[in-house]
Amino acid sequence: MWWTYIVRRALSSIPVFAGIITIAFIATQSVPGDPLAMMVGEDATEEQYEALRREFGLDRPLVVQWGGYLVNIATGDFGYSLRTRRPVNAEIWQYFAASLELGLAAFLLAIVIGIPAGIWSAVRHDRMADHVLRILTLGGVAAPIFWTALMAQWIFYGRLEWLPGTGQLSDFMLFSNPPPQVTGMITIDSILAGNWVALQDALRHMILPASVLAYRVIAVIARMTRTVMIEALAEDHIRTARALGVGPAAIVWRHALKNAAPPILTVLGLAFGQLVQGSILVETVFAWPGLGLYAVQGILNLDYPVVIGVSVLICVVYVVANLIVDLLYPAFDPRIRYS
Amino acid sequence: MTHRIVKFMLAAALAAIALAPTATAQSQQEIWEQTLIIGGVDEPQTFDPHVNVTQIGGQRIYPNLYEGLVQYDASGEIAPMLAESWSVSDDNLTYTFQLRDDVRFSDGTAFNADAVSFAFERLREINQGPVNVFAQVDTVEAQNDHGVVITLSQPFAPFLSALASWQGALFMSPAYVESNAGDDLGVTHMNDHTAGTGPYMLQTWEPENQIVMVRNPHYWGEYAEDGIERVVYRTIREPATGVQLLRNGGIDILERLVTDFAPSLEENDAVQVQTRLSLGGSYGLHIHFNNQLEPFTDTSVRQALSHAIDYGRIIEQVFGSYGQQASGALPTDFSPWFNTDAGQYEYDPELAQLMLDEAGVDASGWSFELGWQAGNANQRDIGQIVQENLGALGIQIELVEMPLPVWREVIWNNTFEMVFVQFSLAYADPDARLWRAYHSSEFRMNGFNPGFLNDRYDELVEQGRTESAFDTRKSLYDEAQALLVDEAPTLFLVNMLYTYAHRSSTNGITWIPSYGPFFDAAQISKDPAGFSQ
Repeated sequence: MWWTYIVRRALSSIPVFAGIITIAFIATQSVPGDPLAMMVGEDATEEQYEALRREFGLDRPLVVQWGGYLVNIATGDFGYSLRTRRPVNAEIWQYFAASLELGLAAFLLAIVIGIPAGIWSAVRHDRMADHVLRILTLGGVAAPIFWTALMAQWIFYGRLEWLPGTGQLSDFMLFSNPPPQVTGMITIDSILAGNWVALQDALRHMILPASVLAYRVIAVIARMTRTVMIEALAEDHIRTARALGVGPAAIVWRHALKNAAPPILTVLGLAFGQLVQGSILVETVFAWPGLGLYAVQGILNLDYPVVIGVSVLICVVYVVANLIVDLLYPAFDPRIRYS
Repeated sequence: MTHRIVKFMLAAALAAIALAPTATAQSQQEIWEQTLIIGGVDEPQTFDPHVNVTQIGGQRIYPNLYEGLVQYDASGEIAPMLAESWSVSDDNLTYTFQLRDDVRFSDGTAFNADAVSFAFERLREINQGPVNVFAQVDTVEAQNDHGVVITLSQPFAPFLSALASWQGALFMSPAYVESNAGDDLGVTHMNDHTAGTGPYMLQTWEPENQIVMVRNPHYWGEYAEDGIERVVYRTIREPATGVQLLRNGGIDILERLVTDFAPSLEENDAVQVQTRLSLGGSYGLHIHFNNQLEPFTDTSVRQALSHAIDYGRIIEQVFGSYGQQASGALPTDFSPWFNTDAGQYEYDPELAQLMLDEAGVDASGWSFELGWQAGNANQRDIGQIVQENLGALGIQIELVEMPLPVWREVIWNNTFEMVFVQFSLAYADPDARLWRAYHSSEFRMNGFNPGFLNDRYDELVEQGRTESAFDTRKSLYDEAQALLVDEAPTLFLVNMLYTYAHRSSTNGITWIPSYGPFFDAAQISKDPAGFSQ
């Protein structure tokens, strides 16, 4: 039964979470530097410093602090940011939603462009189209992403002024007619509220960062698809199908792709995790308030609860993505069963 | 075939969405005119002035929200603000303030003497934030509705200056705080809510994204004609993006302009670049010696090394026209306190070698770590020059990049060998820097003194703190500055200017060095002609 499979997978991921929390905790404790150092003024006395340590529970033995994290996170309490004193729960979902939105958009672009591109390249392999595509994808993998981002921003916003340069919504929309927050993903919230003007605005703002983010993933998926499809198309059963008169489209889409699917799915699952966790460089260039920015500032400020919270969240994303991929395998290859 | 058609339609739909203009132009212009957008990188720690310790985060934002009893005027003198007038007793221990009677907090309640004593009481109870700046405050008593008497336990000459600084902007509505006190004196609530007397109040705070402030409906002062209704501080971490936004009108003011971009912006008519003295925005960039560590315990060694640095090259290569060689610990042009005769070290490597020989030390084979603040390109570049300069004497310097918490920690625990520091003035008085960086009591756990213990210096700044006559203080601090240069506990490198840029359509930007880098939004208005689709 697929649902017992899901339950079993969920249970077996509990040790994974505990492990992530532990590793993140050890990492933050091992890094030199004291986050409280930035929280007290230049002229703080030792008593004031100690009082702050107590307030944040940082004077408790390490084992107690570690245990505290395990218990609290299990109940969904990520604690308070050491820097802003706000509950990490309240903050983290907002940033996550922004990254999720961008990541999903990039993911869709990657599938819609990358897979057909890879297939086309495979079908026409070693001809001109294939070579052109391979050069383009090489550019996607080789160019540093912040350079691509800055270039895209400069060309499409700076020079041509076709698209907005930063942010999720234009100031006008933000201050006159923003969609009410439901999911934190502005496009979805706009649809839910029926606010089509805001939806258009939000989509326009997503185009540049999502494309930049997607470029590299498109490159990887296209190349992967190409390789796998070339192999699949060379199989015996394909030759048989051709001999029996099956049309070329059906050959590619119905027969070959099914065999090629599992490795592509795996790559997609990993790519999804990567996209959604927030690309710090893209978020920095486009001032997109996502998880990447939040995480990096948390790390630079040695904000333990933030670092641990973000680590757990990213772990959840990967676990869920991999679970979905595993659930989808049998749809493509009936030989794979849930074990 | 069908999926090709579908794909085409999808692409067409996306293109239509991408390129179509979004809404009618008229209301867009209104929103544009009313909204001031400031791009920067300095995140505030909290919006509670009794908890906040970050100068740069607090200084640039708080004055729009909270006000003090007094303020600095354009020439740096103490002027009335929430207090109309004041008098000081002969023994300099009692300050009597007459408060304005037309001031209200953003929640509508009246500002009065009780609010003043409430503020100091809350500050004392929470025991964080600027509480140590006001450590000399003994009692705060309301005489009547608009008269308040503050007594000090000992004379503190910079008291009015501290009250005028961002740390003195302490006054929040007692009624509002008490009704939101929870179980922590309102610290959690006031973290992201404000109830001050300033021209604006906080609407939303999204850390790492933006701060939105709207007009205080009960503000006692005046706004510029057709002034700003909404102030937005936007965090833009990538300098190139900030410049791009400024060019295209996406933001109105760009803080901390990276000077590499200044020439190209200066050519642009739509943008103005300004360079100013900012006491609050790090005016000084220096390197501390660990004075308790051999061989830096020897004054002549420190003096010798001070001659080994090529200051001219540092200024030229790293700062261009935006800096000059420092002369001690105070900012150049900080009048009237800056001692123009305090002295500077000249770059003279032969003299340096000579002095080291006379001190009887063999510098070749010395090796030190020089810590610099992560992400600070100026420090990194200067570090490389210093590495070369000291290398010429045979001294090996290893540059160590330090994230801020690490940097803070090594300074507090005196575990550094040499380390970069940046000076700013918490209040516009020499005491703010000369005491805090070099008085012997600041050499302690959590202190900023790099191990400099000098009796004569202590005498000078102690007297400077308690003497009230300007002439006396001036001569005391002059001597203190000259002594610092002479004793060289620190490699005094550069005094920097602060550069920012703004759209030409943004008018009314004022600049008071004592409040730098603060932009007074109440005086700003935007020229409608500057709006573009």
